[in-house]
Amino acid sequence: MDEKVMLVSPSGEKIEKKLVCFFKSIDDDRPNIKNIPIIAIDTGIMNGSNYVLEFYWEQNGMYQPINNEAAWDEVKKTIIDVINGKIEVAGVL
Amino acid sequence: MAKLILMKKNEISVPEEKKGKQIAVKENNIVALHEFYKNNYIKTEEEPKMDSLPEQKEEILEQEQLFPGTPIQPGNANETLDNSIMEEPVIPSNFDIESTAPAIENGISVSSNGTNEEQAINLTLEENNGAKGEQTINLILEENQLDQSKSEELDPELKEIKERLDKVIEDLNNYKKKIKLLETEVNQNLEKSREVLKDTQAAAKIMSIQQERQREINDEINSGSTIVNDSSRTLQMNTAA
Repeated sequence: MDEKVMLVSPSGEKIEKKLVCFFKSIDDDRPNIKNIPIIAIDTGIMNGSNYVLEFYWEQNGMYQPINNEAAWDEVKKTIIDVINGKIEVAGVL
Repeated sequence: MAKLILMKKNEISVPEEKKGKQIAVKENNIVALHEFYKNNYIKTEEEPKMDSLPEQKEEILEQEQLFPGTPIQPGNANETLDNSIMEEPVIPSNFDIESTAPAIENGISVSSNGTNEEQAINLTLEENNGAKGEQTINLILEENQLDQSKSEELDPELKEIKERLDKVIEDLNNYKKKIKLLETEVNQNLEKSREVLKDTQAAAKIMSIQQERQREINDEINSGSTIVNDSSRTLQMNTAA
């Protein structure tokens, strides 16, 4: 069964999305995202034959778009590592 | 090897717009991500949940365990490759390969194309062991996503300032209109005053002429009276004689 997550806006509006991945990196060589929860959500939108994923990172209790270029680079690297199987799962929260 | 802690939440708080940083990925990659998360979360969920960061583990997960039906299949990947991009990668000016090289074991070649509004970054990964298989992850980034998210942060303040400025501009424009109307009114009054002045001057001239005429008449009357008086005196003298 697909994992789901509810996105809740400040006005109380809720929208349910398919959760693809939810993690936080504990790598010292990824300092811009270390210990910051990052969530990947399937938007359900197609771009040609590709699927559009949305990424948020937690900032002050709210999940925001990743607007930091260095952090975004590290997120992309992490995703590539996951796809390539070069990931160690240290635990769950 | 990169280390992650997997998480789970039923609800997350997001901004009003509910729009994150977007990328486009192939179906097999999104499936791989999801399978990784699902399998590993379930697997490690069976272990005691952590309250703090765990000690570093040397456990290495085999790729086959992570990705049943792994997307890194030479046959499948090759079908989706764009040969022109693979053969002649072009490094975009905003992509620094040297900074990424230490963090990524595989070689990376980057090409980019597209319009100013949309930049397609094709990352082509080659296995170090010389395997024939290649995997292309097409990441399509909307350049305005970064700008948009930045502007979303600044919007409340800027919005207020903009509203105030708009109000000031509107007031100024209204004042300008009023000034223009007043100017028109003043000009009209001035014109009327000029006409009145002309009429007054004309009337004054007519009066002056009339006064002159009156003087002439008076002079005539006076000279006529003199003649009559002289005639009357003469007549009296003649009568006395």
